[in-house]
Amino acid sequence: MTRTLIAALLVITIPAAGQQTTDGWDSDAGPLAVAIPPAGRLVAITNATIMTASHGTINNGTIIIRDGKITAVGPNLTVPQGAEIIDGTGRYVTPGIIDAHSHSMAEGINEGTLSSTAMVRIEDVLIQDRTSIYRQLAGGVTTLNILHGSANAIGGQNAVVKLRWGLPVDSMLFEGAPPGIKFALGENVRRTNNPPRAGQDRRYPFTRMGVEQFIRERFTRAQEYRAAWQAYDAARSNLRRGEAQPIPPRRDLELDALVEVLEGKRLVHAHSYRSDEIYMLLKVAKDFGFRIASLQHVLEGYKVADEIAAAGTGASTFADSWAYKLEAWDAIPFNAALMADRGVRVSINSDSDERARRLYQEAAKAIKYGGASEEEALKMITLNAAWQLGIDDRVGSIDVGKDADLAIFNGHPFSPAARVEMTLIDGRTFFDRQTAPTLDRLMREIEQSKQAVPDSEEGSR
Amino acid sequence: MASRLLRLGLLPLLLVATLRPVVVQAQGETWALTNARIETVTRGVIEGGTILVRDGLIVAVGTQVSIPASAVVLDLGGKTISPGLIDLTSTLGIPPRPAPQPGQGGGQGASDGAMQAARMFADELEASGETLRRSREAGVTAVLVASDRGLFRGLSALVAMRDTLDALAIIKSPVAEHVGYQSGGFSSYPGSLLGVISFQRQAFYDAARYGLVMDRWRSNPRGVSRPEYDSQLEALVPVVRGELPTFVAATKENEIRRAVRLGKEHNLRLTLLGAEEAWRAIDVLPGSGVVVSVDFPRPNQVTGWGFGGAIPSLPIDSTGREEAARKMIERNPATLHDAGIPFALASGGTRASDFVANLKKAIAAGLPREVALAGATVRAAELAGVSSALGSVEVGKIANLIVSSAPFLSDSATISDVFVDGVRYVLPPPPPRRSTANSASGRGRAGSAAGDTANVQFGGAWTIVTNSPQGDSESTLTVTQEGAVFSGTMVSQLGSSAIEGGRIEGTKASWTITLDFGGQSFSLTYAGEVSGTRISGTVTAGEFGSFTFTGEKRP
Amino acid sequence: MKSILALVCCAALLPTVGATQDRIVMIRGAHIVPVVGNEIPNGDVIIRGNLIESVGSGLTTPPGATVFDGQGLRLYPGLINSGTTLGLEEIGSVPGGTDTRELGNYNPHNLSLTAVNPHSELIPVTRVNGITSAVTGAGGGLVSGVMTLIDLNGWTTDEMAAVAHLAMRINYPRLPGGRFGGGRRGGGPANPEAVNRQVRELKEYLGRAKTYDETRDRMEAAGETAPTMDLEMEAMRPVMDGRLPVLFEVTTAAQIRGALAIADSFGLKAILAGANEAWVLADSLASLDVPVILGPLTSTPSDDDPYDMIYANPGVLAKAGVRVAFRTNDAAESRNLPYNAALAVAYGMDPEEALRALTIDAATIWGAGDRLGSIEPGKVANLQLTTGDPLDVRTEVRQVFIRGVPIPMTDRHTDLYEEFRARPKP
Repeated sequence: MTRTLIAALLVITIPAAGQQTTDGWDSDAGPLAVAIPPAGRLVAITNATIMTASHGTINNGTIIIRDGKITAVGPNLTVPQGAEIIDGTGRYVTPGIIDAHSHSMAEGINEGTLSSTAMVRIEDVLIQDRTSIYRQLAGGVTTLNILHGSANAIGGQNAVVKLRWGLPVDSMLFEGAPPGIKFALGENVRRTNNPPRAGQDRRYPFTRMGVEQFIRERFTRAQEYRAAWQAYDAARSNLRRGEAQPIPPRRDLELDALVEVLEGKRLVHAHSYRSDEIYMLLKVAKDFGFRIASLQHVLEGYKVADEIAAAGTGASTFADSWAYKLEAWDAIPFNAALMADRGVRVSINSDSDERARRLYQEAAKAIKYGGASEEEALKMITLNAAWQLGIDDRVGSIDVGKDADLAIFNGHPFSPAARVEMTLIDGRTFFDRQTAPTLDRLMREIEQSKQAVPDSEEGSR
Repeated sequence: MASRLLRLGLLPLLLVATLRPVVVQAQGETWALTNARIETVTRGVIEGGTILVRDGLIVAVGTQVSIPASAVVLDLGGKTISPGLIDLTSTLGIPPRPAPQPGQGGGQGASDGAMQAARMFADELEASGETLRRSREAGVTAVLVASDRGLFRGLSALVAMRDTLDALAIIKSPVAEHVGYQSGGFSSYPGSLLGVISFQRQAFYDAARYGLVMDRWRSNPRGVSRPEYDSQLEALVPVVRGELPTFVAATKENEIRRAVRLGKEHNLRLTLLGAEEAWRAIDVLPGSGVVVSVDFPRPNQVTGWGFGGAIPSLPIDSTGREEAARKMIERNPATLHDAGIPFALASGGTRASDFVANLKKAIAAGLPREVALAGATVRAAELAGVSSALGSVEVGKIANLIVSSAPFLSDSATISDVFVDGVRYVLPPPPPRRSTANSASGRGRAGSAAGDTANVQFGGAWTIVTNSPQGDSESTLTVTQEGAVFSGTMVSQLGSSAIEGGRIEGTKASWTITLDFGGQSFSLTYAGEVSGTRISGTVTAGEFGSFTFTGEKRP
Repeated sequence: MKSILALVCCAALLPTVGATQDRIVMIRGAHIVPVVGNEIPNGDVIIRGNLIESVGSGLTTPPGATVFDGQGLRLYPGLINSGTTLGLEEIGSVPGGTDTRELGNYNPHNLSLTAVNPHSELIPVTRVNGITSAVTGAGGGLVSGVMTLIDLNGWTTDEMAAVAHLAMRINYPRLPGGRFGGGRRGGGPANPEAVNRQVRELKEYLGRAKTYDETRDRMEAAGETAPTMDLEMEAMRPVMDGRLPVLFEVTTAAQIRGALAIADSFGLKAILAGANEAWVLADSLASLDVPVILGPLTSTPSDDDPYDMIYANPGVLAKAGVRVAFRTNDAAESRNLPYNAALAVAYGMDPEEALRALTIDAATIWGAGDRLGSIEPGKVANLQLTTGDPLDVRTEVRQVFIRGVPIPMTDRHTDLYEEFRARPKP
């Protein structure tokens, strides 16, 4: 068996990360695979400036990683024997960036035919070899919340993933992350900017009032559905000898998901813009007894920040995008900081494979606009996003016991010259600028090939 | 259970997978094929053997066969006899159906075109003698027929390659429920891959409950409200009960993983159909049937190609990477064999001559010839549930046989005779300069091996209807074809676009256009199957996903 | 936001819009980064009317001057965004306010300045971040029309115009395929036929314009008057004379080669914009002295291009001696101009080169190097007083001056911020 084939076979048979040590990987992992960094290493990042996102910044600090977890962090730590050392001199380490709103790595994100598609699952359509994944790693991103699109009021189920680039897609799922679902309000749901063609019907609901009634209707159905199952379960447990087993209600995958929402087992991430629709949704959720986990975009969140905070709802917004549509007309860059001031847990997201590559610069805007502290700004792309996704016990800050998901910068991440040098997930280096395909490397290769072939493309014109 | 159902007289016909007793068109002739090298596939090779064929069946095999006086003796002079090939990926004889119209449905229900679980392909077949002849002459003696589009496609039929695809040619029906990942349309649910998978999941749950409700009512209808009859769910009941196999068309790694998950979730008797990227998902294969298509995908279309963005030396070294990737792709069957995974081999829907050429590529890539032969015969028969009747040279089996000048699938082998149901078809001698088998054994890409002359004529003006998520849009495609490539324009409401990369491979046409829309340009790649004056296939639109299109040639 | 003016004088005295010759402004005690010339750690600038009168340290405060205290602050030239649609669109999805694309392929006579809305809400939002001038222009078709350079303050379009007729925008037809114009991605051979046809058409158009221009030149010399005037062709005359530069919108190296060939054969003065693959031709561009407008850097390269190609491109060009400037290429994102330059710095561009690209080099490319882009006596007083490096997102811009006018440091966003910050707890 050829070497490349062996490599490729191993690539597809590697189980979930953190369970297997694979050594000897290099860049020759076959033509349809990438080198997978070894797992279970003992790693020490030394002499770095560590921005923990939870307990301030540690100068000249060390992080010890064992089996993918942070086992120690602080100044003056002794590096254990046999640890692989990443020299952090002059470098800044932050928690791996968490993007609370992504549509990356999915084969399609909208099932927009119905106004509720609570049954569809992003997890079903994930894809693992998109270059954009690697590029987000190169921007320090380690975790994505991959959401259904905003074509309908009740969208599909999201998937939280870690960017374990090179592994099969099942191994990229964030194991144990609470399930969630996308809701959407406003222009996209009304299809304001995407009107039906001649001869096609408009899809109900078409107004913001209709959206409210639609959501209420679906949750009313969900309550009835739950009651039917409860009745069935009761009938089964009270069954007398000789009686026929009752026939179960029809299992409805849409209502299953909504019942999970009602029971607090499924997090709602709601695309929203205007303050009135935000306010509406918070009221609907309250009436049905569940919490909206996060409002997404939430560009007018600053207008109802107190209400959002009181609902225990997070807000995941853009740093400063505005004016791209009518409902983004009152968007202000102070939104994040102002909501945070009012007690909302705020994250800054990308909603874009491009913007995701520079979220650390986006977060800095919360300092510029509204005066967020440095740590608060960093939390907006790490710990707060983790909290909104219900994974803050695992990721989001540099604390002992958490996953070693880290971004290593050449300098302060908010400074203009900030660049990601390495990105670690579970202590494994999934991006390293030293070995990355950079423009500089390409130019050197072109130069070499020119020398090899005098009449090159460049010279032939 | 069967007796209870019989007593009730309510046995749905499709529950019974009827294995036709072979009383088919006994030619009256009894054949004695003597002096042959017999590759039985299941019982080794018999040198200098004889096969006795009567009433369409193999009645004796061996070196000591007594030949009755009534037999016509065919001295094969050392030629090889192998079982006829069985191709489990065929659409032969399925008449075209109108695509579902957009604008239908749109409520909470499914679109009309999406659910075809009850479709019986055995009832629809019609095929010309010419198409059948070409398959037969390549050694294909039976095909499993089902649509290659849709999410619940219907119930397949295994058909013998006789002169006509009529009811007499049907060996078994239904063989399996066929499932895939294409949506039925875009203006009604399910309109995307997300929806398709959810739709399937829901349908299986619904079928399980339907079966329960129906059983309950059928066993004792007194005092019970009559449940609503649903022919589609009716068809799925034996599927979710594991009585009828489910064949899931799964090409890509993630489709394979998805299909296996689906199968586990619903206790299906699962067979993966296609499995071109099975080498990437070996870990999930045990427990499922695997039909490996040898219609090898292009390197830039397989999972893993997208990892290229992280390979430092990629931009200069892309040709080498393509070659290496192609090797891995062609090694797919060999890799599975090395990993101990049993599988059948199938054409993937290509022309029969390409099927054989591609089998040879798989062999050249490391698959033992004997394994390839077994894969395309007895393994296929097993997965179709007909291994007692078909797939090897054994007494009592149907006399579907190939006579070749050398061991079949070896480079120098040419076919001289094919027997189907004991009926002998004599092939014309190969052209003097260039033998079919030799030309097909080249290591070139699929399609090019068969030469340009075999490519469909695509030139002219076509009306193309693209079933985009925004609805149907019509455009005019003007094509100038030169051999296997073509150029031209595609004009729609969005303007005129030049065709890029237009190419023909057999009956497959593909091209790309770039549209400028809202200040952004994006490409649409069309890939379709040309059939006379019609074309249908898939449009891939990058991050917008993929959708279907149809077209008609203008007079 | 804090306005430092409030510290030193009464806000009521603030002249808002419109220049008067007798207005005198002094900025005292700032760290001056003039871009051209040495930094002055504790410097003063005196502005009279629209212009910078003097730059130095320990200058005497002129009588009647409005004084801005620059203690602890840094004074930079205002930044020039070298490509926007400012004033031409307001809300992206609302077509009624969007004038960025005329119908048809050839609109050389379209003057972008005509449709600039001086009262667009996006203009104050942009300028309070230190951007004092912007190139704005429509795209669309092959020859989109005449772009314009405006200062971001004024009652009318003419008041705003810094260079009314700036450059003719030509969108070079896009070749399919990869960096070298071929089908590098294995998707079959690229068919550039349609593109070639467009290029041919463009060349024919330019040929016609050349003939028209030469004929008119001869007629004018002979004192003949033409019976009819072709407005399109008239608009092309300064282009063909080499007086009006052509901004070629390009992405790939193949497009750049094509654009340069056209410029060469028709004697056009070329500026490239977009140009993600300009690094391939950096040395040629330097030797031909063809400037390149880069951005937005906030975009992604093709799948098999280096991940940092767009970020690193400006540094490669600058190092090779190509004159570069930055743009955002839209309206709402215009304020983020300096962070495009910051990405370039992060991936290899010299920080000083980046600052020049935002100021003096941009001004020079646009033929306004004598008036804009640095803090020098005699130049237009477009300035910003900041808490730090303009490329640093965290930097606050405390005061902006456009043509000597201290600009109110408020906009739609600060208004809404103040309004809702004051919302009582419910």
